Amino acid sequence: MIRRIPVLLLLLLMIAGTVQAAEFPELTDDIYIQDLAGVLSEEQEAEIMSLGAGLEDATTAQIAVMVIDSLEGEPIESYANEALRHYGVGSAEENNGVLVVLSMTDREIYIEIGYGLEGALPDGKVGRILDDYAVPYLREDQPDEAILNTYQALYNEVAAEYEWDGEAASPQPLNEVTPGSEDSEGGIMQPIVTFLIVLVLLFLFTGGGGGRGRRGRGRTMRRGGFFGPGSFGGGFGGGSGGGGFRGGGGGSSGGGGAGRGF
Amino acid sequence: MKKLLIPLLLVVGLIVVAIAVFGSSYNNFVQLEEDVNQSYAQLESQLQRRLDLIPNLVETVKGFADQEQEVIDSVTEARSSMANAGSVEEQAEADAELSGALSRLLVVVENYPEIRSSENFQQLSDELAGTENRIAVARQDYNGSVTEFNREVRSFPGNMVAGIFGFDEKEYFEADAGAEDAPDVDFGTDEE
Repeated sequence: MIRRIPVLLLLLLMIAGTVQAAEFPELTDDIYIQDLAGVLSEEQEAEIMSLGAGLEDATTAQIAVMVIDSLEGEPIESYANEALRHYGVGSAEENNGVLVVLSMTDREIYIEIGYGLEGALPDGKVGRILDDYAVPYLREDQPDEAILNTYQALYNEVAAEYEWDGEAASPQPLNEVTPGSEDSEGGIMQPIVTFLIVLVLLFLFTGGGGGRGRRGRGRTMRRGGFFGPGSFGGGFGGGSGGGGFRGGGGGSSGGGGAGRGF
Repeated sequence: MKKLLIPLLLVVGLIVVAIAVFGSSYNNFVQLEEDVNQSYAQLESQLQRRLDLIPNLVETVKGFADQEQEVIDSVTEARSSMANAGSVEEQAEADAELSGALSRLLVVVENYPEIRSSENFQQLSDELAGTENRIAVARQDYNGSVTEFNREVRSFPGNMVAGIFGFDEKEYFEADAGAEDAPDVDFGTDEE
C-alpha cells in the first residue's frame, strides 16, 4: 500500500505533464472570458461575466471564451479540446462546459462542446450558430460583436436545455438575442432603434422650442430604458470578482463542436 | 527455538511484503485495463457514429452529383471494410482508408457549389467534421491509456504480475505509416 503512493504521485505528475503540452495561461479572473488579444471592451467583458455567472448559478453549466493572438501552429480543434480539459470547463458531474476559442492571426474560431451538452448543441447546430452570429461579424472585423453574440446564442441554447428562462438573473440577453435569432443579430434591432430615435427627434422638434434641453433629457431617459439593465448586469459581474474568481468545475469534452475560418 | 523464530519472521515478512506489492500491482492492472476498455468503447462509439453519418452524406451528394460514382463508391467500400474490421489494427487501417475516401469526396464536392450551399450538407459536414475530431480525441485518449497499461506490463513488478495473471500488452490504434498520412478532412467551409 505504501508503495502505491509514490506510484500514484508519479502517475499524477505524468498526467499533469502531458496535459500541460500547450501551456495555457493562468486564469486572472472568472473563467467565462479570457481576452488575451484584447478585442473586447470592458463593458462587453462585464456583460459576458454576468451572463456566465448567472448561467452557472442556475444550471452549473459553464460557457467560456478564449480570444488568443495565435495558435502557434497547433490545430484549433486540439487546442480547444486541451484547453477545455485543462481548465475543466463545466461541472465534473455533468461535463456541461462550452469553450469558444477565437484566434486572431489564424483567423479561425472553434466551439468545443463538453460531453454533457452534445445533445443540446450538436455539431450541426454549433456550425449554424457560427454561421449566423460569428462569421458575419468576424468578416466585418468586429470580433467583439462576434464573441458577444455567439456567447448570447450559446447561452440561450444552454438555458433552454435546462429549461431555465434566465429571467431571474438577467433578462437583457434573451431580449437582445431572440429578435436577432432569425437573421444576424442586430439585423432587426437596429432599424427599430433608428426608427425610435427618429420618432423622438421628430416629436421633440415639432413639439416647439427649447429643443436642446428637452432633447438631452429625452435621450437620457431612453438610455435608461434601453441600456439600464445592461449596465446593471455589468456592475453585478464586476462585484462577483471580489472574493477570488471562478475557475472550471472539472468538466471534460471529447472533441465535439464545430469551427470556421473567416 | 529463538534461532528458528527470526528466519520464520523474516520469511513471513517477505511473504507479506510480496503480497502487498503484487496485490497492489494487480489492482493497478485492473484499473489500467478498465481505463483502456473505457477509452476503447468511447473510440468505437465515435467510429460507429461516423459510419452512421455516411449513408446520409452519400445520399445528399448523390442527389446533386450522380456522375461522381467512383468517389462515392470508394467511400461506401471503405465504410463497409470499416464495419467489418475486427482487431484494433484492422480498425485503424480501415479508419485511415475511410478518412482518405471521405476527404476525396469532400474535395469533389468543392466543384458543386449547390451541394455546399445546401443547408442539409452544411449540417452533415459539420457533424462529420465534429465526429472526425471526436475520433481523433478518442484515439489519443485510447492510445494514452494503452501506453500506461503497456508500461506497467513491461516494468517491475508489473511484468511478473502480468506473467502470472496473463495481462498482455494492448494494441495501439494506429495505421501504417502510409495510411496515417491520409489528408485531413477539410470541409472547405473556411474560405469562400
